[in-house]
Amino acid sequence: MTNRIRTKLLTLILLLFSILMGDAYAQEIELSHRASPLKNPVPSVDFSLIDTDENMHKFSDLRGKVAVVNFWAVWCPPCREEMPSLERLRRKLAGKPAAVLAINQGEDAERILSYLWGLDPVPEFPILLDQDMKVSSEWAVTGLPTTYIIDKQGNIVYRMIGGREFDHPEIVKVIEKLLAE
Amino acid sequence: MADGITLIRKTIQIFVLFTFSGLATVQAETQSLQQDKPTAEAWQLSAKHQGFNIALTAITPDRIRAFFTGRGFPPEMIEAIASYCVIGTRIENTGSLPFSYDLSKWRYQTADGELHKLKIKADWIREWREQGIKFAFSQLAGNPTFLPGDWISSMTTYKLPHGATFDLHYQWNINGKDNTGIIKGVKCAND
Repeated sequence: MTNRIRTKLLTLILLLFSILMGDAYAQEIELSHRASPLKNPVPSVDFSLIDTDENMHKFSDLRGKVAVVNFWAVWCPPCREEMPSLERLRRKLAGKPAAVLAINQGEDAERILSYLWGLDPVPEFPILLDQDMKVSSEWAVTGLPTTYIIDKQGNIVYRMIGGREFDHPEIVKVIEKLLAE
Repeated sequence: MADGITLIRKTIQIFVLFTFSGLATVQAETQSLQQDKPTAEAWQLSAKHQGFNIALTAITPDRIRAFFTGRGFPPEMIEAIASYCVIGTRIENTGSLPFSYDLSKWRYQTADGELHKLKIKADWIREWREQGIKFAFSQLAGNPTFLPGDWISSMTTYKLPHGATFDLHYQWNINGKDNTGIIKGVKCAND
Protein backbone atom coordinates (compact mmCIF):
# COMPACT_ATOMS: atom_id res chain seq x y z
CA MET A 1 0.00 0.00 0.00
CA THR A 2 1.45 3.36 -0.98
CA ASN A 3 1.77 6.16 1.53
CA ARG A 4 -0.86 8.17 -0.37
CA ILE A 5 -3.47 5.41 -0.17
CA ARG A 6 -2.58 4.75 3.45
CA THR A 7 -3.05 8.46 4.26
CA LYS A 8 -6.41 8.55 2.47
CA LEU A 9 -7.55 5.40 4.27
CA LEU A 10 -6.49 6.81 7.63
CA THR A 11 -8.29 10.09 6.86
CA LEU A 12 -11.43 8.15 5.92
CA ILE A 13 -11.29 6.10 9.13
CA LEU A 14 -10.77 9.23 11.26
CA LEU A 15 -13.65 10.94 9.46
CA LEU A 16 -15.89 7.96 10.12
CA PHE A 17 -14.86 7.93 13.78
CA SER A 18 -15.43 11.66 14.13
CA ILE A 19 -18.95 11.26 12.69
CA LEU A 20 -19.67 8.42 15.08
CA MET A 21 -18.30 10.36 18.03
CA GLY A 22 -20.21 13.45 16.98
CA ASP A 23 -23.32 11.33 16.97
CA ALA A 24 -22.49 10.10 20.46
CA TYR A 25 -22.18 13.68 21.67
CA ALA A 26 -25.43 14.67 19.96
CA GLN A 27 -27.20 11.80 21.69
CA GLU A 28 -26.07 12.88 25.14
CA ILE A 29 -29.35 14.68 25.73
CA GLU A 30 -32.19 12.84 24.13
CA LEU A 31 -35.52 14.49 24.76
CA SER A 32 -38.41 12.18 25.49
CA HIS A 33 -41.85 12.82 24.04
CA ARG A 34 -43.80 10.64 26.41
CA ALA A 35 -46.38 12.18 28.71
CA SER A 36 -47.76 9.83 31.32
CA PRO A 37 -50.88 10.75 33.28
CA LEU A 38 -50.81 10.79 37.05
CA LYS A 39 -52.83 7.90 38.45
CA ASN A 40 -54.47 10.30 40.88
CA PRO A 41 -54.63 13.94 39.75
CA VAL A 42 -53.76 16.40 42.50
CA PRO A 43 -54.92 20.00 42.95
CA SER A 44 -52.22 22.49 42.01
CA VAL A 45 -50.90 24.83 44.70
CA ASP A 46 -51.55 28.48 43.93
CA PHE A 47 -48.67 30.94 43.82
CA SER A 48 -47.84 34.51 42.87
CA LEU A 49 -44.48 35.20 41.24
CA ILE A 50 -42.96 38.03 39.24
CA ASP A 51 -41.62 37.44 35.74
CA THR A 52 -38.39 38.73 34.18
CA ASP A 53 -40.17 42.03 33.38
CA GLU A 54 -41.31 42.33 37.01
CA ASN A 55 -44.96 41.67 36.18
CA MET A 56 -46.85 39.72 38.83
CA HIS A 57 -48.52 36.44 37.85
CA LYS A 58 -51.06 34.64 40.00
CA PHE A 59 -51.37 31.03 38.93
CA SER A 60 -55.06 30.67 39.82
CA ASP A 61 -55.83 33.40 37.25
CA LEU A 62 -55.26 30.68 34.64
CA ARG A 63 -58.25 28.66 35.90
CA GLY A 64 -60.33 27.61 32.89
CA LYS A 65 -57.20 27.14 30.78
CA VAL A 66 -54.97 24.14 30.25
CA ALA A 67 -51.58 25.14 31.63
CA VAL A 68 -48.10 23.77 30.95
CA VAL A 69 -45.84 24.66 33.87
CA ASN A 70 -42.12 24.04 33.43
CA PHE A 71 -39.60 24.19 36.30
CA TRP A 72 -36.09 24.87 35.01
CA ALA A 73 -32.71 26.58 35.39
CA VAL A 74 -30.13 27.83 32.92
CA TRP A 75 -27.46 25.60 34.50
CA CYS A 76 -29.54 22.50 33.69
CA PRO A 77 -28.60 21.09 30.22
CA PRO A 78 -31.88 19.26 29.46
CA CYS A 79 -33.80 22.39 30.55
CA ARG A 80 -31.92 24.35 27.90
CA GLU A 81 -32.43 21.64 25.33
CA GLU A 82 -36.20 21.54 25.70
CA MET A 83 -36.81 25.31 26.03
CA PRO A 84 -37.25 26.07 22.28
CA SER A 85 -39.84 23.30 22.02
CA LEU A 86 -41.88 24.98 24.76
CA GLU A 87 -42.08 28.13 22.64
CA ARG A 88 -43.01 26.10 19.57
CA LEU A 89 -45.76 24.49 21.67
CA ARG A 90 -46.99 27.93 22.78
CA ARG A 91 -47.25 28.97 19.14
CA LYS A 92 -49.19 25.80 18.28
CA LEU A 93 -51.62 26.55 21.09
CA ALA A 94 -52.08 30.23 20.21
CA GLY A 95 -55.74 31.29 20.27
CA LYS A 96 -56.76 28.33 22.44
CA PRO A 97 -57.56 28.42 26.16
CA ALA A 98 -54.06 27.28 27.05
CA ALA A 99 -51.01 28.81 28.71
CA VAL A 100 -47.32 27.97 28.84
CA LEU A 101 -45.10 29.30 31.58
CA ALA A 102 -41.67 28.48 32.91
CA ILE A 103 -40.56 28.93 36.49
CA ASN A 104 -36.85 29.52 36.90
CA GLN A 105 -35.14 28.21 40.00
CA GLY A 106 -33.05 30.76 41.86
CA GLU A 107 -31.29 32.58 39.03
CA ASP A 108 -31.33 36.31 38.37
CA ALA A 109 -33.26 37.90 35.50
CA GLU A 110 -30.13 39.20 33.77
CA ARG A 111 -28.59 35.74 33.47
CA ILE A 112 -31.90 34.24 32.36
CA LEU A 113 -32.55 36.88 29.70
CA SER A 114 -29.05 36.75 28.27
CA TYR A 115 -29.60 33.02 27.77
CA LEU A 116 -33.15 33.29 26.39
CA TRP A 117 -32.28 35.97 23.83
CA GLY A 118 -29.89 33.52 22.20
CA LEU A 119 -32.61 30.96 21.54
CA ASP A 120 -34.45 30.30 18.32
CA PRO A 121 -37.32 30.78 18.73
CA VAL A 122 -37.02 33.24 21.62
CA PRO A 123 -39.60 32.27 24.27
CA GLU A 124 -42.51 34.68 24.48
CA PHE A 125 -44.24 32.97 27.38
CA PRO A 126 -43.75 34.28 30.92
CA ILE A 127 -40.55 33.30 32.69
CA LEU A 128 -41.34 33.48 36.40
CA LEU A 129 -38.72 33.83 39.12
CA ASP A 130 -38.88 31.37 42.00
CA GLN A 131 -35.96 33.00 43.77
CA ASP A 132 -36.21 31.10 47.04
CA MET A 133 -37.39 27.88 45.29
CA LYS A 134 -40.46 27.83 47.53
CA VAL A 135 -42.91 27.14 44.70
CA SER A 136 -40.89 24.19 43.37
CA SER A 137 -40.88 22.77 46.89
CA GLU A 138 -44.66 23.19 47.21
CA TRP A 139 -45.11 21.55 43.82
CA ALA A 140 -42.94 18.61 44.91
CA VAL A 141 -40.32 19.13 42.20
CA THR A 142 -37.56 16.59 42.87
CA GLY A 143 -35.32 17.35 39.89
CA LEU A 144 -34.93 19.66 36.92
CA PRO A 145 -36.51 19.90 34.49
CA THR A 146 -39.95 18.91 35.72
CA THR A 147 -43.07 19.90 33.82
CA TYR A 148 -46.70 19.65 34.83
CA ILE A 149 -49.84 19.80 32.72
CA ILE A 150 -52.78 21.26 34.60
CA ASP A 151 -56.37 20.82 33.46
CA LYS A 152 -58.98 23.57 33.26
CA GLN A 153 -60.09 22.81 36.83
CA GLY A 154 -56.60 23.43 38.20
CA ASN A 155 -55.66 19.79 38.76
CA ILE A 156 -52.21 18.42 37.91
CA VAL A 157 -53.01 15.61 35.49
CA TYR A 158 -49.60 14.95 33.90
CA ARG A 159 -46.10 15.17 35.32
CA MET A 160 -42.94 14.83 33.27
CA ILE A 161 -39.49 14.51 34.84
CA GLY A 162 -36.63 15.09 32.42
CA GLY A 163 -36.37 16.91 29.11
CA ARG A 164 -39.21 16.68 26.61
CA GLU A 165 -39.85 17.70 23.02
CA PHE A 166 -43.01 19.59 23.90
CA ASP A 167 -44.22 20.22 20.38
CA HIS A 168 -44.07 16.52 19.56
CA PRO A 169 -47.46 15.32 18.27
CA GLU A 170 -47.80 12.91 21.20
CA ILE A 171 -47.63 15.71 23.77
CA VAL A 172 -49.70 18.13 21.67
CA LYS A 173 -52.37 15.43 21.40
CA VAL A 174 -52.51 15.13 25.19
CA ILE A 175 -53.03 18.87 25.55
CA GLU A 176 -55.63 19.05 22.80
CA LYS A 177 -57.54 16.25 24.49
CA LEU A 178 -57.56 18.26 27.72
CA LEU A 179 -58.65 21.37 25.82
CA ALA A 180 -61.60 19.44 24.39
CA GLU A 181 -62.81 18.29 27.83
CA MET B 1 -32.33 -2.80 12.48
CA ALA B 2 -31.89 0.45 14.41
CA ASP B 3 -30.72 -1.55 17.44
CA GLY B 4 -28.16 -3.31 15.27
CA ILE B 5 -26.79 -0.04 13.94
CA THR B 6 -26.64 1.38 17.46
CA LEU B 7 -24.78 -1.71 18.65
CA ILE B 8 -22.24 -1.43 15.82
CA ARG B 9 -21.79 2.29 16.53
CA LYS B 10 -21.31 1.69 20.24
CA THR B 11 -18.90 -1.16 19.60
CA ILE B 12 -16.80 1.10 17.36
CA GLN B 13 -17.00 3.95 19.89
CA ILE B 14 -15.84 1.67 22.69
CA PHE B 15 -13.05 0.30 20.51
CA VAL B 16 -11.91 3.80 19.57
CA LEU B 17 -12.04 5.11 23.11
CA PHE B 18 -10.29 2.13 24.59
CA THR B 19 -7.67 2.28 21.86
CA PHE B 20 -6.98 6.00 22.13
CA SER B 21 -7.51 6.66 25.81
CA GLY B 22 -6.05 3.51 27.31
CA LEU B 23 -8.99 3.15 29.64
CA ALA B 24 -9.53 -0.54 29.12
CA THR B 25 -9.19 -1.13 32.85
CA VAL B 26 -12.77 -0.08 33.54
CA GLN B 27 -14.79 -3.15 34.40
CA ALA B 28 -18.51 -3.51 34.56
CA GLU B 29 -20.94 -6.27 35.28
CA THR B 30 -23.55 -4.57 33.18
CA GLN B 31 -25.58 -5.25 30.12
CA SER B 32 -24.04 -2.37 28.22
CA LEU B 33 -20.87 -0.39 28.52
CA GLN B 34 -19.98 2.81 26.79
CA GLN B 35 -17.63 5.72 27.15
CA ASP B 36 -18.67 9.06 25.81
CA LYS B 37 -15.61 11.23 26.08
CA PRO B 38 -11.96 10.37 25.52
CA THR B 39 -10.64 11.98 28.68
CA ALA B 40 -9.07 10.39 31.70
CA GLU B 41 -12.12 10.49 33.98
CA ALA B 42 -15.00 10.85 31.56
CA TRP B 43 -16.18 7.29 31.25
CA GLN B 44 -19.62 5.90 31.56
CA LEU B 45 -21.03 2.66 32.87
CA SER B 46 -24.62 1.74 32.28
CA ALA B 47 -27.07 -1.07 32.88
CA LYS B 48 -30.37 -1.68 31.18
CA HIS B 49 -33.11 -3.69 32.80
CA GLN B 50 -36.78 -4.14 31.92
CA GLY B 51 -37.91 -0.50 31.88
CA PHE B 52 -35.18 0.66 34.28
CA ASN B 53 -31.96 2.15 32.93
CA ILE B 54 -29.09 3.50 34.99
CA ALA B 55 -25.91 5.18 33.78
CA LEU B 56 -22.94 6.49 35.78
CA THR B 57 -20.30 9.06 34.97
CA ALA B 58 -17.56 10.22 37.33
CA ILE B 59 -17.43 13.98 37.87
CA THR B 60 -14.09 15.61 38.64
CA PRO B 61 -13.73 17.66 41.83
CA ASP B 62 -12.91 20.72 39.72
CA ARG B 63 -16.22 20.42 37.89
CA ILE B 64 -17.99 20.06 41.23
CA ARG B 65 -16.24 23.17 42.52
CA ALA B 66 -17.18 25.10 39.37
CA PHE B 67 -20.82 23.98 39.52
CA PHE B 68 -21.42 24.89 43.16
CA THR B 69 -19.42 28.12 42.90
CA GLY B 70 -21.81 29.09 40.12
CA ARG B 71 -24.74 28.37 42.42
CA GLY B 72 -23.34 30.71 45.07
CA PHE B 73 -22.32 28.10 47.63
CA PRO B 74 -19.87 29.11 50.38
CA PRO B 75 -16.29 27.85 49.86
CA GLU B 76 -16.39 25.47 52.86
CA MET B 77 -19.47 23.68 51.55
CA ILE B 78 -18.03 23.53 48.04
CA GLU B 79 -14.92 21.82 49.39
CA ALA B 80 -17.06 19.52 51.53
CA ILE B 81 -18.93 18.32 48.42
CA ALA B 82 -15.79 18.18 46.28
CA SER B 83 -14.11 15.99 48.90
CA TYR B 84 -16.64 13.27 48.10
CA CYS B 85 -16.57 10.89 45.18
CA VAL B 86 -19.32 12.36 43.01
CA ILE B 87 -20.92 10.26 40.31
CA GLY B 88 -23.26 11.68 37.69
CA THR B 89 -26.21 9.30 37.78
CA ARG B 90 -28.85 9.03 35.11
CA ILE B 91 -32.07 7.11 35.77
CA GLU B 92 -34.59 6.52 33.01
CA ASN B 93 -37.96 4.82 32.73
CA THR B 94 -38.03 3.18 29.32
CA GLY B 95 -40.89 0.85 30.17
CA SER B 96 -44.65 1.11 30.30
CA LEU B 97 -45.06 0.99 34.09
CA PRO B 98 -44.09 3.49 36.79
CA PHE B 99 -41.18 2.54 39.03
CA SER B 100 -39.72 3.94 42.20
CA TYR B 101 -36.39 3.57 43.90
CA ASP B 102 -35.16 4.33 47.39
CA LEU B 103 -31.62 5.65 47.59
CA SER B 104 -31.48 4.82 51.30
CA LYS B 105 -31.50 1.16 50.23
CA TRP B 106 -28.62 1.54 47.78
CA ARG B 107 -25.15 0.51 48.93
CA TYR B 108 -21.63 0.80 47.63
CA GLN B 109 -19.15 -1.97 48.22
CA THR B 110 -15.51 -1.17 48.71
CA ALA B 111 -12.54 -3.44 47.99
CA ASP B 112 -12.61 -4.79 51.57
CA GLY B 113 -16.10 -6.19 50.92
CA GLU B 114 -17.83 -3.71 53.26
CA LEU B 115 -21.19 -2.27 52.19
CA HIS B 116 -21.80 1.43 52.84
CA LYS B 117 -24.77 3.79 52.63
CA LEU B 118 -24.65 6.67 50.15
CA LYS B 119 -24.84 10.24 51.37
CA ILE B 120 -28.28 11.05 49.96
CA LYS B 121 -30.05 14.24 48.96
CA ALA B 122 -31.87 14.62 52.29
CA ASP B 123 -28.51 14.55 54.11
CA TRP B 124 -27.09 17.30 51.89
CA ILE B 125 -30.25 19.43 52.03
CA ARG B 126 -30.17 19.28 55.84
CA GLU B 127 -26.58 20.58 55.86
CA TRP B 128 -27.34 23.22 53.23
CA ARG B 129 -30.34 24.52 55.15
CA GLU B 130 -28.26 24.78 58.34
CA GLN B 131 -25.97 27.11 56.40
CA GLY B 132 -28.85 29.09 54.91
CA ILE B 133 -28.44 27.61 51.41
CA LYS B 134 -31.80 27.41 49.63
CA PHE B 135 -30.60 25.44 46.62
CA ALA B 136 -32.45 22.13 46.41
CA PHE B 137 -31.24 20.49 43.21
CA SER B 138 -28.25 18.64 41.72
CA GLN B 139 -28.49 15.61 44.04
CA LEU B 140 -30.45 12.58 42.86
CA ALA B 141 -33.91 12.52 44.44
CA GLY B 142 -34.12 10.04 47.29
CA ASN B 143 -37.39 8.24 46.76
CA PRO B 144 -39.23 9.38 43.64
CA THR B 145 -41.64 7.67 41.30
CA PHE B 146 -40.69 7.71 37.63
CA LEU B 147 -43.52 7.54 35.15
CA PRO B 148 -42.94 6.05 31.69
CA GLY B 149 -40.74 8.45 29.71
CA ASP B 150 -39.28 10.13 32.82
CA TRP B 151 -35.54 10.49 33.18
CA ILE B 152 -33.11 12.53 35.23
CA SER B 153 -29.39 13.14 35.45
CA SER B 154 -28.20 14.13 38.91
CA MET B 155 -25.37 13.49 41.33
CA THR B 156 -24.84 10.70 43.84
CA THR B 157 -22.12 11.00 46.47
CA TYR B 158 -19.86 8.44 48.11
CA LYS B 159 -17.48 9.02 51.00
CA LEU B 160 -14.46 7.68 49.16
CA PRO B 161 -11.10 9.10 48.15
CA HIS B 162 -10.74 10.47 44.64
CA GLY B 163 -9.67 7.72 42.27
CA ALA B 164 -11.19 4.96 44.44
CA THR B 165 -13.14 2.11 42.89
CA PHE B 166 -16.35 0.52 44.17
CA ASP B 167 -19.30 -1.64 43.18
CA LEU B 168 -22.73 -0.03 43.25
CA HIS B 169 -25.63 -2.13 44.53
CA TYR B 170 -28.86 -0.46 43.41
CA GLN B 171 -32.54 -1.18 43.86
CA TRP B 172 -35.80 -0.23 42.20
CA ASN B 173 -39.41 -1.25 42.58
CA ILE B 174 -41.94 -2.01 39.87
CA ASN B 175 -45.46 -3.13 40.67
CA GLY B 176 -44.60 -3.64 44.33
CA LYS B 177 -41.68 -5.93 43.52
CA ASP B 178 -38.13 -4.99 44.53
CA ASN B 179 -35.42 -5.54 41.94
CA THR B 180 -31.67 -5.23 42.41
CA GLY B 181 -28.60 -4.80 40.26
CA ILE B 182 -24.86 -4.28 40.61
CA ILE B 183 -22.51 -2.15 38.58
CA LYS B 184 -18.97 -3.25 39.27
CA GLY B 185 -15.80 -1.26 38.97
CA VAL B 186 -17.18 2.26 39.29
CA LYS B 187 -14.18 4.57 39.45
CA CYS B 188 -14.25 7.92 41.22
CA ALA B 189 -12.64 10.79 39.32
CA ASN B 190 -9.11 11.79 40.23
CA ASP B 191 -8.48 15.24 41.69
